[in-house]
Amino acid sequence: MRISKSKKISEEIAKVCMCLAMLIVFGFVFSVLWTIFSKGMKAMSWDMVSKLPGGGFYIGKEGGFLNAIVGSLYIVGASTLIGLLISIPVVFFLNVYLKKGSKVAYLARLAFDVLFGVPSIVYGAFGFTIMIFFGLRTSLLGGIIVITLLIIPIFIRTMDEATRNFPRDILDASFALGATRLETLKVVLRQIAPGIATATLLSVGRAIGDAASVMFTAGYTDSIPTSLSQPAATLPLAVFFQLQSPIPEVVDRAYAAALVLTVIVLALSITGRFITNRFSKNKV
Amino acid sequence: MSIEVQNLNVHIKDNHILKNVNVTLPEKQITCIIGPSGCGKTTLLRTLNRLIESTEGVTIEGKVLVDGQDIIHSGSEVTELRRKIGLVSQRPCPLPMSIFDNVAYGCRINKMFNKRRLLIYQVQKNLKAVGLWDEIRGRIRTPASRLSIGQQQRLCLARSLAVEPEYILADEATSALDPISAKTIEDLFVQLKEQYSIIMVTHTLRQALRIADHVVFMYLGEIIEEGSAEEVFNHPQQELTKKYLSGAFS
Repeated sequence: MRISKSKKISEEIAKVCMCLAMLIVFGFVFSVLWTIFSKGMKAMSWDMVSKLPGGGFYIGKEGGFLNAIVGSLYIVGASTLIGLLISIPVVFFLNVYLKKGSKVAYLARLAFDVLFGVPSIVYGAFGFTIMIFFGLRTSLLGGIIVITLLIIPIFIRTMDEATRNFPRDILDASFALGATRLETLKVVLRQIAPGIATATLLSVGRAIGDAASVMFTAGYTDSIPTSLSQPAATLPLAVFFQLQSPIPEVVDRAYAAALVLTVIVLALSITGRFITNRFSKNKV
Repeated sequence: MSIEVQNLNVHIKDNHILKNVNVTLPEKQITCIIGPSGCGKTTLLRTLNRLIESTEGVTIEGKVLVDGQDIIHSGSEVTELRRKIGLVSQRPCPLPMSIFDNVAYGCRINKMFNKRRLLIYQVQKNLKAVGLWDEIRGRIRTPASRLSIGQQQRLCLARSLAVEPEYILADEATSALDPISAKTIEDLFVQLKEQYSIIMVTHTLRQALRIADHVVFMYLGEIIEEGSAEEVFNHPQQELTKKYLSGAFS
């Protein structure tokens, strides 16, 4: 009787602790969103997202930060595409071409884990060194290269996790029908489609929100780049530069930029989940 | 048209899994490979279509002659070999696609038909052959994972048959199924033996008794006894076979 009572009490305590932890997380998410929305909405207007910075923008006059929105989308779009094109073959090689327990696969995974943990400022510094070596200036291309390097480990590790749990029987089923490993890629892709969607969301989230790596590589400009060799503004840097201003109107614009950044990430998450659900209908 | 195994030795890292295996698997019959767990039945089966090669640290010595050609060392095309030797695995394993695409998959990769009409006919024919057509008609484009486990296993059999193999390997193909589905698969094998040579690994002696024409008994990587089902089950020559059949070990 006493044992069952103590079990009940410990169960209750655990439940309360879990609810508290949930509340802390929810509270945190809500307060972040509240701060961004309440402060950002003050400066938010159609001009803010549809116009380039006008004369006197940085002292609170007219214009918007379309340059940063477009710059961010250029960099994230291109680096996500390149990242996917590089990561999918790597994941496929690790899981289908290499045999189970392969030392090469072990070393590769170790390397990607290390790269996964490298801070983005280090990528920025690395990118900067490479650019100096090749005589490049801060440019859209520099930003795309560094962000691609930054997100490749995220892509690979996330997709690799999804593929490692891939039922070996499915591969055997495909091989047993006379499929080559390359032909089996189609089967693998269908099965890990939700994993690819998750990896893309995580990568895009990291890529679009990172300020440190693009600061030295993409630079900042008030115009929209028309070629890869021109510098590109990004939303995180728009937040970073404007938040330092002593002028309250400019600080509010920083929050408006943060709001746009958050809305883009939220929209991508929701679209990603929708696509994931569509793709996972065939998953076994 | 038969499979002949000569002096086959398979090592996986330091383990000697198959020890000097010599056996001829007759055509257009059901051959049941029986024996206790870990005796090398599945390894032997996976060597016949060279799926064993995907295992890390495997070395294969000896010959496996399929239609007179050594498949291990002749540098023969593995994809063509696997098309010729279908596999039904222990657990049903539908591919992550629709029912139709599952059956069509093998035909497509082997570029068997250049007209869609012929492909559709092939899919229908094989779904009918495994008795699945009437059950799934009208939802052939739905994901295969929505079928019941028994239906999934019949789908896997249809998928193997669709590439027009000559041999079918079945690795405990009924062990994950309920008794009724298992019986359906067994009956299918009995029907199919007129057109295909079936090599089946089974853990269930009663199943082997019901359907086997030829029996191979393995123990610790060696073939202890083989012969017609009648000979092995009714007049076993080896002491180990007698003990196994009497249930002294399993």
